[in-house]
Amino acid sequence: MLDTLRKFARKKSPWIMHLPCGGCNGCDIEVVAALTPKYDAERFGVLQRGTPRHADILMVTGIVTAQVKDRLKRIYDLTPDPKYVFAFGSCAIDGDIFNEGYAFKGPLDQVIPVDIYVPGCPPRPEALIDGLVKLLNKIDLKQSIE
Amino acid sequence: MIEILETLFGLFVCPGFIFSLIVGGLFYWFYRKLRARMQARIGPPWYQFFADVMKLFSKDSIIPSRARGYLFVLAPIFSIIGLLLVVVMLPIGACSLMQSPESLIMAMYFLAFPGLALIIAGVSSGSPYGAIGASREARMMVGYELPYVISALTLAFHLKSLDIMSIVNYQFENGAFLLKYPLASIASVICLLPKICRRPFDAPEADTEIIGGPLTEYSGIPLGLFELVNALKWFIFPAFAVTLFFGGGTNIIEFLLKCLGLVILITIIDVIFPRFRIDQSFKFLLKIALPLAIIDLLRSVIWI
Repeated sequence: MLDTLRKFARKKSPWIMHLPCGGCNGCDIEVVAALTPKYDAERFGVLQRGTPRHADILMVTGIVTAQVKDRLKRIYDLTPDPKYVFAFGSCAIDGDIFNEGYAFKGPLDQVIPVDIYVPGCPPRPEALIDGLVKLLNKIDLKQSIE
Repeated sequence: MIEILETLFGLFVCPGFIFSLIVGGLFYWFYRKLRARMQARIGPPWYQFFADVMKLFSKDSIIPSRARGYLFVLAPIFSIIGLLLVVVMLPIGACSLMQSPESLIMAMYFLAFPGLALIIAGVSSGSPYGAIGASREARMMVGYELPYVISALTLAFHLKSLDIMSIVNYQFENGAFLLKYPLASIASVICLLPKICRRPFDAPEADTEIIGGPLTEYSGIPLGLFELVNALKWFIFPAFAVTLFFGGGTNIIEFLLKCLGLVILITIIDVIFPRFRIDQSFKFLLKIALPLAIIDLLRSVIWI
């Protein structure tokens, strides 16, 4: 009973912290578009929070640069469990065109564990919502395994 | 014995914790839904607030090492206690549970608890954003407490009584105080906005400027408690205004409908106004709300 309630609550209220690392801002604009009236992610209970303490999902866009790498780890540690990491856009997945740059410090999943990848340069807001639904279904699965 | 049980039941179940939580949660959802509709969005489903709270209660709670642990955890509990003590004094459905000849003064003190708790939360969390939020809340409090208290005292001077029950009974016989003291009512409704932390007076919790304000370092259960406080605020502050100025309610349905009307008014103001800067809101409260309240206070002292 409590377990079902908990699962229900976690699926219905994913709070997002948007974490732009070192990209070109294209993905950030798409994330903002998904949260504002046209696509309205609030109907799924998504709220954007400014602090990792409130967040369930860290939405990382852009490449992991030398500047941001340690801070990214720290922000991941600041987030309370259970937490999920959403790699949004090709840059976060493998560096895309910045792959051979001097500031590129590895794909995101070598820095912090990633739960879902959404490729695209940039992905459309529909892709964000689709990825979110898949992530929420994964929350279900993860708990049943535990 | 039975009286004690009755009081406990009132405090925790019927006009108290559970009832006001459900009504407040629904009002809070209604605010979010109406705001979404006014912004051409769809908005969250009705159980959104309860899902948020349940999720936060099932999360890990981190107490930062720089925070003062006990104050950090006690701050939300303080404000829940203050709000619950007010709700048992309100005559929801024509009769209140706890009656005393000085209940108006007591209620004014307890209604200051949520603001104080925000200041405690911000200062004790050891975060610069929390400190900024707490200082903004403290500055706002100087601005809004004065007109809020003066507009309530207008009624006390009119009736020569500090009992909330006598205010309500007078309104049942002679019509709402809104018609007799419109300026004080307006001042009181203006002060509701900073009390519930809504635009244009939401500078203490401005999430686009200072991240989470006083709640920046909160996570898990303490943050869930602050969400409960938020829902309780959405019910109890409009309920207090309805009791004082809008005639109360002879039955519970009428009372809740009047509260809902105030919630709609607050939502519309929240959606159509941008946020005041902290000095602007301070000036607005002292230059507009305070004179309105004082004019009606003088009317009630001199003319009657």
